[in-house]
Amino acid sequence: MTEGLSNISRSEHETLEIGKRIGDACTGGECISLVGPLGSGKSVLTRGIARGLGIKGTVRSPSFNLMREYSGRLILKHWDLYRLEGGFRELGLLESVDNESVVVIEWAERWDELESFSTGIIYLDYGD
Amino acid sequence: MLVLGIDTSCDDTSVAIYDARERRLLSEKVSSRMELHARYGGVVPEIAARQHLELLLPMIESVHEEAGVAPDPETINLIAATRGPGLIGGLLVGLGCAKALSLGWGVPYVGVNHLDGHLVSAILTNDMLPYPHIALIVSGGHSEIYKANSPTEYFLLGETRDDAAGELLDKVGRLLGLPFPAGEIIDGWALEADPEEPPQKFPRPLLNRDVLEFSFSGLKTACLYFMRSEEAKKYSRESIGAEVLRAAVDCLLGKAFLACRTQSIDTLVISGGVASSRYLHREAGKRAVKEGFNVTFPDPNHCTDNASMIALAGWYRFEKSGPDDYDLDCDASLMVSTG
Repeated sequence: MTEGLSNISRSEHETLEIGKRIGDACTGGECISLVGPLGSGKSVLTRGIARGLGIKGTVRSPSFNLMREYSGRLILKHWDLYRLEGGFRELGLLESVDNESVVVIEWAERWDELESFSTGIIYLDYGD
Repeated sequence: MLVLGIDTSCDDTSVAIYDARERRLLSEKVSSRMELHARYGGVVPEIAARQHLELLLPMIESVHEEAGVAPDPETINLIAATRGPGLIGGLLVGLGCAKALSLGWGVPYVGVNHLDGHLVSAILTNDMLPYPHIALIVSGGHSEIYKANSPTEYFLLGETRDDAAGELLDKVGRLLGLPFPAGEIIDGWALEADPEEPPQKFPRPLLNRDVLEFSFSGLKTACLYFMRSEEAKKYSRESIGAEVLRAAVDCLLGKAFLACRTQSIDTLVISGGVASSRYLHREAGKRAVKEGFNVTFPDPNHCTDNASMIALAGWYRFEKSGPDDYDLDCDASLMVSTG
């Protein structure tokens, strides 16, 4: 957590903009883990990433279906491990990473092995 | 015309035998109602799929026993199984089983959209359901408004931008330290709370805007920030939970009745797991009277996932377009039937 960039967002709009910049910079093959408590902005950040990838339309919570896919400049594969207690290796999550896709995983901390597979980990938390 | 229905789309295994001509449910089993396993907060998809695999055949035998019919091609005329949306492992087990029985018995089968099932579930108790009507599906994975032209033809009018209403209740439930699923407990709090004295007012996202959309993520965040504030210490978790449900129900009913008005349709049908909320029933009833609409719900057992609604939706599909081929695939993110 000590390495890398740190960003402070003061609003939902700013979080969306940070996400958009991340999406803009993606070239395919990324696997981005989002780690942070309920309401810290993971979904908003993902929506921003989707915008950066040129995806129009709404980005809905994948909590129930585990994964939702969207097409833009690249394919966004939006995972959410919130409901899961185990069996992560069998999900097909790692297999979903390819050069045409950007994989974003909410509640990535549920699966401790994910860190080693991620090309980037974003930690989110509340300020005061 | 007996239909064997199978639903394995989520955590529960469900099997039913429905007499489509007589409009009568002969027998129905849902695994969670059988207390075979304790419910817990999370799901392990591979374990859920394996559980469907273990439960399915014994449950099919037992619904036949309960219905008093033999499990063979002489009695069952159609097999209907959910092919999506849902968790892919479970869907593969259910649809695969339907295909195998169909081949073995020489009986036709259809793959059914789980949402089409919810959309006809109210017919299980009210076979005079009028068409067209406005249909609201509210569950852990869905918050959508449709115009239903017939039991096989739907037009999406609006949906959530982010989270589903049931997901909101489960996530707020977790914040309030409640076990999963939290909906029933919060429902009890809302029924008992005094509506004249809300402890605090959470936002009703998009309610005053002229759009047929929901945004329950914003409501979740508002609740979270309130709970982190000093102010929150003055209130019980019961009153906070009750206000969250009140806000969600205001949004759901506000938008559903808006759809009724803009489409000039006077019947609203509410289905899906959240439709079993007694608070939602009470409020929907009150407002329907005030605004001059009719509101119908499935009975509570058929709001949550069940195979009876899959049997019924499968029968409608079969009547309209005949049996499916064996190369039909499961589709984890299937959309509703548009006719």
